[in-house]
Amino acid sequence: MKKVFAVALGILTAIGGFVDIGDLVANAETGARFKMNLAWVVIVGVIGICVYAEMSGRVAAESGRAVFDLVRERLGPGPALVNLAASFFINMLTLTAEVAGVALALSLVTSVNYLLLMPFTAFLVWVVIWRLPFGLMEKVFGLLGLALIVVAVTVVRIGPDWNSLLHQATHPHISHDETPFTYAYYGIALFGAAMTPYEVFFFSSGAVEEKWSDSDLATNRANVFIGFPLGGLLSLALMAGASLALAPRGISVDALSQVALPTAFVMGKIGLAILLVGIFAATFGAALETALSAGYTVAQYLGWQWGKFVKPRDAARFHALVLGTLIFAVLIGISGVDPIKVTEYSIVLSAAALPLTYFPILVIANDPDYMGEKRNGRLANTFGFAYLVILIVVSVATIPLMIITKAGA
Amino acid sequence: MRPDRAGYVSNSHSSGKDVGVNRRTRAAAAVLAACCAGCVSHPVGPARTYGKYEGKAVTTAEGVVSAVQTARMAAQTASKGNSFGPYIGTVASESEDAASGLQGTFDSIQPPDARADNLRTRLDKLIADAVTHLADLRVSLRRGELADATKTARPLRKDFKRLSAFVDEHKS
Repeated sequence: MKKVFAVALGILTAIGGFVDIGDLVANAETGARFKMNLAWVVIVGVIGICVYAEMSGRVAAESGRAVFDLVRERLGPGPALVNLAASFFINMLTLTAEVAGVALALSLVTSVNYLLLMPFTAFLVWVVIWRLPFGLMEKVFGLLGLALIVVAVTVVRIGPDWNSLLHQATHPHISHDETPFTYAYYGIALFGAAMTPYEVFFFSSGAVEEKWSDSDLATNRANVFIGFPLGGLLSLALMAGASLALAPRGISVDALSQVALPTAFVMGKIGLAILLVGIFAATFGAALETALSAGYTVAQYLGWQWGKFVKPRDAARFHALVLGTLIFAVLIGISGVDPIKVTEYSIVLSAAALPLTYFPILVIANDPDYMGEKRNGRLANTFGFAYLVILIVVSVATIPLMIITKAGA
Repeated sequence: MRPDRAGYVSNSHSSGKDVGVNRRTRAAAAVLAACCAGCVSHPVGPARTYGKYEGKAVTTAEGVVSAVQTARMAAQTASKGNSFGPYIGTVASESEDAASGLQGTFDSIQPPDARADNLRTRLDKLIADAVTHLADLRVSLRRGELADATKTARPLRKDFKRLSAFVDEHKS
């Protein structure tokens, strides 16, 4: 019974923790602009993150070591440093976007400018990282993130023509207002939002923090293969809500406040309050994950002691790095950059760098020296290699598409 | 099996490789700079022909339509008692900022000829009206007059229709 409860709690946490600022913005933006014609990308992205998150969790459980620890050892210091530089830069952008997302959510409740709230938000993130145990931190914000289910309820309350929604999703087309390039660019943004690299850095490091072993592999699979797809449904609900309530009015999503508008319109004050709690939890949880991921990647590459499973004084450089990264993210955020643009760039550049993260995981998951009998089977490799091809195509296409479409303008 | 950590010795580079590294670094810096520039709101590009200028005018008008429609939807939400003052005030304020930002950006583009001057004057007037009405709505909502929001937002309906007509007329 205790085991069942633990698995159920893990699944709920995975659902609530799946959505972050990138998903909120990308799904609402594409829903308002392309309706459900890019829904298939969310499904492809969710399958991809399931395949690789399961792999990275299994690698961590078998080897007792996290992704970046093994990347340096397996690829060598030079290629791993390139990987680290790209991953750290994108993670920094993502952290800036997440902290700004929390501040924007708070500003919708308080009417205080989000720029004034960003330092306060970052301080809160740091306090939670410093004080809360890893498991509690993960579960509290994951479970609070379940409040985003109100978005799915909003879609049901709108009372859409389900056949029409399904038809749009299963028969995608490019409207005459758009070009194939903008369609592909936003598709890449959605794909990048679903497969953000920090998710596997955090997932595998978290597995080490929680001392996963062989006996935890079933829980890992349940979290990933049940929790993530259900979290993906929340992404699709965000897209559907925007396509039903914003697209017909000619509204394009340029601000986080617009993401909440369909729910406020349909569900009223209680619905809006629940959604704002969900947005706060989703962005705050992701801010914790990205801030920790900054510390994890660098500390694992340099061989420093890392993690929350040791006392802060024993991982002083790791904690100093997390704090320094948070301060730098706030400085970027309050410099006047548009937080929604930062979010868009973070997910699109994530897409460009995806092979750097996922290729080493696939290599290590096939290495019998690390994995023993738990190395990839035929099914994992079929999906893993198929996705590697997709990741490479996406990576090559991202920057040219960004230039051609003027970043989706 | 848990392998030992290995490979902490960095590779030495020849001077030829240094040149390659420098080139790569410069290319990466250029991509980074382009990306950072893109994060600044409403980047302005040149319009050397009337057609290009007209395209930018349409994009601007579509952006203002989005801001106007967002504010109208927020006003309806407020009138129904479906929202909190701080949230709805923020939505109205952001809509006004978006519309005036678009106007500032469009005005900073050099019109290439006399025909473009006329187009600029016409669109400017439409956006200015919309910004005034958005400001009226923002003031009213910030004062907590949520029940009257639909009434206050009524002029925005006309702005929406005129801007939509502008878009339809000039969109090729």
